[in-house]
Amino acid sequence: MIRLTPSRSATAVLAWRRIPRGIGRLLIAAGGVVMLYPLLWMIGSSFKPEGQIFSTTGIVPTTWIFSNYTQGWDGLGYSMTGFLVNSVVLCLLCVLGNLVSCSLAAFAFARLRFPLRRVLFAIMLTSIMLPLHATIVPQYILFKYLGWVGTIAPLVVPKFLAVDAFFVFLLVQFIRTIPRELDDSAEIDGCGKFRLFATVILPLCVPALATTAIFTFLWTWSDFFSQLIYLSGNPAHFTIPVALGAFVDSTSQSSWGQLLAMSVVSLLPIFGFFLAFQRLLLEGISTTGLRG
Amino acid sequence: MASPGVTVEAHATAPPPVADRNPPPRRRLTRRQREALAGYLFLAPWFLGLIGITLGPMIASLWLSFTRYNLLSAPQWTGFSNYSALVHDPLFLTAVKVTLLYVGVSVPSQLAFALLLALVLNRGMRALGLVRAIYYVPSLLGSSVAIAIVWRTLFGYDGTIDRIVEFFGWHNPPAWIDDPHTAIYTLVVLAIWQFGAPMIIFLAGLRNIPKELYEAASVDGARRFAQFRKVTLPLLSPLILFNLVLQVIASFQAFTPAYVISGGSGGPANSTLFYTLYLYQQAFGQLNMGYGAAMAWLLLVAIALVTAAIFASSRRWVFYMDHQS
Amino acid sequence: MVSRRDFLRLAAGTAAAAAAAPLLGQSASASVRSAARVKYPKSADIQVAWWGGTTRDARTEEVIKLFESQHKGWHVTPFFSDFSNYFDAMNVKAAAGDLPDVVQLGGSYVPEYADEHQLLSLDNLSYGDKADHAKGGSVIDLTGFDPGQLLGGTVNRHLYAVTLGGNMPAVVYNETLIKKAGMQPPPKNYTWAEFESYLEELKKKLPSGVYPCDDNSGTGGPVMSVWVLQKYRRMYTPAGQLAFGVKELEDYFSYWQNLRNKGLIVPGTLEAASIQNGTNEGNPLVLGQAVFTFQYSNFLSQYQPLMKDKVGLIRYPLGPKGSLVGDFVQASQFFSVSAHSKAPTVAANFINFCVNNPHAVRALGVERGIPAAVRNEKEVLHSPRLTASDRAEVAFEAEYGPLTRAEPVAPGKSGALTSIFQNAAQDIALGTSSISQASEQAMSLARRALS
Repeated sequence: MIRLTPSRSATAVLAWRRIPRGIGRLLIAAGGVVMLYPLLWMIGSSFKPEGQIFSTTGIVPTTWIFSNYTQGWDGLGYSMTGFLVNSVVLCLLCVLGNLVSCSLAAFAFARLRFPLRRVLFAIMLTSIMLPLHATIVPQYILFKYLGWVGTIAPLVVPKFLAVDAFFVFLLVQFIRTIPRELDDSAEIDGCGKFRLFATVILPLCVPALATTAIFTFLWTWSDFFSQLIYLSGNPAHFTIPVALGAFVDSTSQSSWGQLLAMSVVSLLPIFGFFLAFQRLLLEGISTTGLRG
Repeated sequence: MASPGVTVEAHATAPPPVADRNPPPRRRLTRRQREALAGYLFLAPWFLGLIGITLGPMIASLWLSFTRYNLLSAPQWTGFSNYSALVHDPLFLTAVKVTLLYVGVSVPSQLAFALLLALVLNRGMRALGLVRAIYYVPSLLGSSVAIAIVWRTLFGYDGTIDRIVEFFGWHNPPAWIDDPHTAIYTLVVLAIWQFGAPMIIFLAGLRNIPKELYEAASVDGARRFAQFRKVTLPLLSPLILFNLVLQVIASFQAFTPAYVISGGSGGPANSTLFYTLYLYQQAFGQLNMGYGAAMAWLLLVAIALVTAAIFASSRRWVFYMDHQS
Repeated sequence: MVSRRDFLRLAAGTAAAAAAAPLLGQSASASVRSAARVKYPKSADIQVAWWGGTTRDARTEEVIKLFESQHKGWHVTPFFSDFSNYFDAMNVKAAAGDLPDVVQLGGSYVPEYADEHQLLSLDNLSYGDKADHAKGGSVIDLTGFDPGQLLGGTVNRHLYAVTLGGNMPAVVYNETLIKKAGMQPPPKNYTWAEFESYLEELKKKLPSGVYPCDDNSGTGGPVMSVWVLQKYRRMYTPAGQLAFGVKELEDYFSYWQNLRNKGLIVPGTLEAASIQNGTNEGNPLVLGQAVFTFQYSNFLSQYQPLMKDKVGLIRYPLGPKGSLVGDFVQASQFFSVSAHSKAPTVAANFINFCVNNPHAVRALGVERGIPAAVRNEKEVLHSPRLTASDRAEVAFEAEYGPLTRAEPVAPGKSGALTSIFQNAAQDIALGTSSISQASEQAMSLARRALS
């Protein structure tokens, strides 16, 4: 299965290179439409009256209304502005936490030799193999015992303690693609381990760090349930996913139009964050200089 | 030999650079010991998180898997009864089958698609950033309620897809998402469509391949395909391993897509009853947390075995630049 | 003329299960107010939790503001979410002994939470027509409350939950489509058999793509309960097991299968789509795919704003001659006080405010159901915010409520049954299981869930 994967892609790439540029661009554009269709549907439907969202299939509304945006903005009795600010602050804190803690741990696993390294690495990977639903209750009890429920601590503190093993693993794999000769030459220069990490390895990891930042931001942005139970103390602390979750209800009147409108609004910050950080993906060895 | 406990204490007094410059007075550490000490210091936050946050709830859930626990009153020890009940539970077996099918189909297709797109989008192209962002849009949308509606409008009875295939002459096409035989594949398509995460990781990896290697390869007169096979693939292999392991773990644990698209039911007719969805239904719907915990630990064992197998095989196909075992 | 409330009291007093007797059987006394003064804290911060859509959120927040303005020093923090996530969150919080002070509950969650000591008994905080409700409390005024709905909040003879309004099973129909077909809605006192022939007649006159009825064999309303209660005195044995057997389940599914085979109800795939959607917007009646759907009465005012066609309400079909009455007025949802509340008197005071303060009653309207006391029902009727559909619901319940039986009291573990029977119905509808297979399996799963 694995061996099939690369060769299939390779032939596809080859084929793509052989087709004239115009057709290639056309394919990419067509693919783009497929990628964008749901977003366009969402935007279009956010301008439809409530009754038409499910009864009409077209993207363009027959009657345009803007009330989903105006009413949805404070549809929950609290302004959306507050929810947006809360989410952005939370996400940035989580990004910071993951960048610092995961890169430290990853450097140790990838570059340093110490007893039990493999065992600890296995434990780390195992810790993400248990589904959330099995640990959420003990975890809630733990955080309640610590007095953290109702604050952002249960959402942020774990990020500073490298609990997201996913990113540690990512950074480990990434660091291991960096030639070890670089470390050796740095160490000959009398460079300590921390300086090696901070001045040699980290700059070379910018693409992986950007990936970590992007994913942490996105996943925190859309993480619903833990934010619901831990931030529930006060609607003033609500974040975007918690707020969006309150628009549609299976037992009473829902506001699908407002939900879609506010979903569109909530996409803008993550789209912005993605655009800003994806530039960093372009950096890498080619710009930070292997030649030096 | 330094143990993790010692390291955590040491952390307060000796940050890494200091440790390197001022060796402890009692006895000189060898180079090896210093490296080990540094290793534990770098891992200190992670240790703290493991012991303080991760391990406790994990052990608690293991214990709960041997109890009858309805969340509302204290758990009661019941030994292996949850585990033995699983064997006789037809829905559990359904959930296992559905999940294996999902993992088996969606992981390879999603990774292949992500790699292909990463290779395409890594090339010079006008407005590359924009194109890349557009291709990432599906992943930005996530498995939200909004995506669920879109998916149902696309793949529902008389939906957009039906109209397209009818246009091409397929009469009476299936109701895809509402047909027990095809519903699971609409979720596979959703997974493939959201290929953004592995694609970004491949892109990051591609950027890190030194251009010199390609230059050297083309001087050798290597053709494009050979270049791909001899340079790109080996240098990307650590990230292929990463994506493979992570997608396997994530797909075994997949919950949200089936939850939002089936409205939490795993329907139609349990055809999208993912393992974790059934676990959730048991633990939170029927308040059988003990049963859910037992399911969770079985899943952990299954994932661990598959992951271990992948790692074992990786020695043969993953190439590291750091010449480390 | 016997008023609806009196009738219900009578009906409940005679027909209700043994559990009800101590509560209702005693001779009526005037409302008894305890002499003991309730001590309220000067300042308190309580959390109030509910599920619902934006309409309910807005109405409830209005009441909270009103409550805070009238009680300086008391602060209310709202918690709200949609239905499914709400109970996941509540279960996690209950596990940590952390339930909000005032918590909205429905159906089997009241006995479930009460049995496990998560709720505070309101006996000492409430008073009503019956001596049992007046064990010394003077906070929640339950005088004139529908005894049937009070019973729904009573577990082991203690009151744990206060009804926020009642509703009853009702068939919602598309009046416009029936008129276009040149027909009338079914007559009063129609039976299941007559309903079938009515649908056959209707089918001939409907445009293609429109089915006479929704498939409610597994979802939508309390159809199975009503069906069973028309034949059995109760749904559950005193030991908390189902009071009927596989045979009954097979009969029930066969009735629907027959309608399905004749093309009188929407096909399984359409029904699957509506389950996936889960909200009113995905209901076949709302989408114009079906003319009838089995629901609760309060759905009229939820469906109407989503449709151009006019919708109306009729009662559920009756069983054949000699059958029992199967439908009932129930509390659509309750407010309870957490056993761990640090300010239980304030929490109880808030509940009283919601169900008795005239301004609050008007603000809440009939969105959670029709107020359980006549005096408050009248208050609501004065509200200019009541829509025509809201008024139709009130009129419907006033007409048919007195003809119903007492709400069946469900055991705490019955919450799991909904999905079990829904799965069985869907397996049959999509042809993945036979009726007997699906019934057998559902029955054994149900037995396990209830044990």
